[in-house]
Amino acid sequence: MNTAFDFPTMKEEMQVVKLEIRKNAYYDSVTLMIISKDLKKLPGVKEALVGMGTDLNKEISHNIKLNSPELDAITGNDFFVAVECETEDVMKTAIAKVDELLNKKKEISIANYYPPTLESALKIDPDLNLALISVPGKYAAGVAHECLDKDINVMLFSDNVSLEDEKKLKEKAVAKGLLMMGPDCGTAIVNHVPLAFANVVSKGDIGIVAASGTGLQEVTCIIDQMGAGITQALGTGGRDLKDEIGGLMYNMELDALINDPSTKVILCIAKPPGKDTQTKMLKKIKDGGKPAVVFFIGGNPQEVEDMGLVGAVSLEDSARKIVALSRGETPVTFEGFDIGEEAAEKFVKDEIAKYAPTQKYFRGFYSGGTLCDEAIKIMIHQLGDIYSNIPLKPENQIENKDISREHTCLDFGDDEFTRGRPHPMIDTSIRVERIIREGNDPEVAIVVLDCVIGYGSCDDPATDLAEAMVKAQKIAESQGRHITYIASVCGTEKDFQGLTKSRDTLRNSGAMVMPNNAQAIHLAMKILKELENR
Amino acid sequence: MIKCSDISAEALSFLGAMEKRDFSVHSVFAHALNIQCGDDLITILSKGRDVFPLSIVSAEETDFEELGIRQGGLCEVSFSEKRITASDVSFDFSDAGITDCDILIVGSKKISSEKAKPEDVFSRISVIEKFVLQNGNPGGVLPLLCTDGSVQQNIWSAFLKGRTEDLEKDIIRVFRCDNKLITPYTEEIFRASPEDCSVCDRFVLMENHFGKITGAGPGLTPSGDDFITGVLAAVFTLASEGLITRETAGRIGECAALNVKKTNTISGSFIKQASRGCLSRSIIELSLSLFKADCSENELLSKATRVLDFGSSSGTDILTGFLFASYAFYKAYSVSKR
Repeated sequence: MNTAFDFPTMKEEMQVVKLEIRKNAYYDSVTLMIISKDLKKLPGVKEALVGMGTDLNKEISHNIKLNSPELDAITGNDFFVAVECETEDVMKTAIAKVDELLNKKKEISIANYYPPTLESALKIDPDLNLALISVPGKYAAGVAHECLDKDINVMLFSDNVSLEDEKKLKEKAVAKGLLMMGPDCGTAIVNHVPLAFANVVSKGDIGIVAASGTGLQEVTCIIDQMGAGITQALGTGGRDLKDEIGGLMYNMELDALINDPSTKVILCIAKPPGKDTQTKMLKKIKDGGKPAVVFFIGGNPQEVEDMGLVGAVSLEDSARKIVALSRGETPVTFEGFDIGEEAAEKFVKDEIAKYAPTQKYFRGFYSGGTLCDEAIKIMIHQLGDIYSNIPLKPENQIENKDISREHTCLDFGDDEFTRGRPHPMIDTSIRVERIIREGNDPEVAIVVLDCVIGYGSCDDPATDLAEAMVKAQKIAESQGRHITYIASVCGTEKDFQGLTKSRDTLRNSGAMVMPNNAQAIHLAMKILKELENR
Repeated sequence: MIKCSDISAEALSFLGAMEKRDFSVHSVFAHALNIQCGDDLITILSKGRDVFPLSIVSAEETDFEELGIRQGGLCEVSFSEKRITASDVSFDFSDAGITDCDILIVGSKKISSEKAKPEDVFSRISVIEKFVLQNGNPGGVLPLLCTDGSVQQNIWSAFLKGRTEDLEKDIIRVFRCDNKLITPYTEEIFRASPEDCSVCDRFVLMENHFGKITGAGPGLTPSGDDFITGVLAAVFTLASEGLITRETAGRIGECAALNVKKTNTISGSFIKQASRGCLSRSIIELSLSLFKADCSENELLSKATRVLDFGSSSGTDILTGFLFASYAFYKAYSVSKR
């Protein structure tokens, strides 16, 4: 069905033209757009045309001399890619790229056998003991029960599972001593294997339990960046610490870490739990006898300290404190800047000097929900109102997600943005469009961004964000303004996208790159405070 | 068995016209499954997708590729059991809610409320235009909307520029000749000028001009096709609001429908539906809100956003066509008023 025509159709100036044709093949528009975009980015590719083989598209191909007899023979129901390159070598790279993009799913299924059922998977390897489940919510509980019945630990990526089902699943798992992470569990590192959206981090002696996806990613990455490492990073699903579930999985995972000889210290991350559950959970950690840091995002650290445990004020602070405990040092609360106060002050002054009088607001555009939540919770006391699609106060619910209002902080990974689109960690386009658009807003002073790399994230989010920032800054400058971009990369050097590479890319676009989200937010707050006094 | 939550009235009536029949799977995407039923396609969509004519929407998010349904496979439709089965996967639409996707029907059913003033409607169109220019995907026909050069022409839009201008002339003339009409706003009669009189010729030309756009452009539904869908959406909106006659809208639709063979089956199917005034719900919602007296800018833009979100550039291209035909009406209207 697929034909690649490597005809030596040389255009004037000895350009090489090649067609990739797929008969009766339909690819969704997003795939076609990605092919077109990626091909045009390849060095040496002069032109690329991607479309269906209708008469008019063939006419357009003829007009720009990207044509051949083979193209003439295709129909409106055939898909074609025509590429014009400088050399044969570039052409080979281009065609390989098309193949890679079009055959992604096919290649995977040929290279790796995907058993269609749990039974056939167990036939291949009867010792399988962990399943990552990602099926429509309706079926998720059933599939998870099936796994637990076969003594298989579960990481349930799917959401839309009822609280009642979640409780039943967790009761079953606890009774059998199995993990039941989720539902809606997007990140975990089990026995050093990153699962779903996760990063490649060093081995060490820190065990983590978290009811938060990007929160878990952020702390594991900061721990890795500080030269420490982890034993396990276990997820629970966001609702586990509600009183209805009672922390069933949190408690079991805590037990596992308490009893794990390679885990020396324990870090717990979650949104503030239900009252009863919090008391029981903190008591368990205390009774476990291992040094521990507990960070309730937006909660009161004093409640943790009152139990004789170490509380924290941000994801970064919790990572720093757990590393200190792991090294036998005394944990100290950190809300400062790695660059130092003086450098931060200077940066703030320099930036403010470039602002027009109309510029006064902050915009946070996040792909990670917990990072967005953390930003709002850190800033809310200073700013009062932060409009968001995940607001802290109901009256701060943003009316139209596409139009910012005063201080706005958005989670682009939330359902209303991802309906019919890939998650912003996979496809940056929705944030890219928004960043560029905000360049026109005369009231914007600061834009804060996260750039989450690692497994699950796209190949090079930093470049996409950097290009968008450059474009938006040009727009602002053409109107006599300057926007401050503050970014942080959630990732490690071992992630395939590379931490330093990603940071450099963002920095080269003019962004101030901070080591993590908390420092990015604190720097933004510093500017806003100074602006108030302007 | 996968339960379905919504079915378009058009799909229900189409399926009702047959009893048990074997069809074939035309194409499978992650979030959509197309079933070839003669010359038409019935589409099953995953939850969260917009209901459009001849579509059914599943109650849960569904990845059709992962269900093992393959292109060319057999597909059985049983209307009495309200079930469609493809590759051992059954879709049950017995409890599905029925959604009208025919703008003329939806428009006639709406509770009469105070209408927006003409100047408000045109100013809303400008708001949408600005929004689309700022947020739309410029890879298709969007540059055709741009008059100040801020959106660069691309290969496709450059190719279509002259062709859409020709179409615009036809549309304006046909609107002007729609002289049976008394506008609800002005009570002035639209009168054709002598040079506009040869309406029949205009329709022949219009059919040709639609043909010079159909199938052109990037994407599974080529941008030119989406543009035409947008044009038809505007035309039927005008008919639904009584600003042109249904007959005129119908004839313009016929001109577009006569060219569907020039594009692929999926895209042609959308044009065919639009040529009868059958549109996706998001487009209908946007169209209705344009003429509502108490529609805030936020409401309008949030509805435009839903359309803009279609596919990669499809939403942008549809809105471009919609605005294009709306401006054509404005031009015709202005001349007629004189």
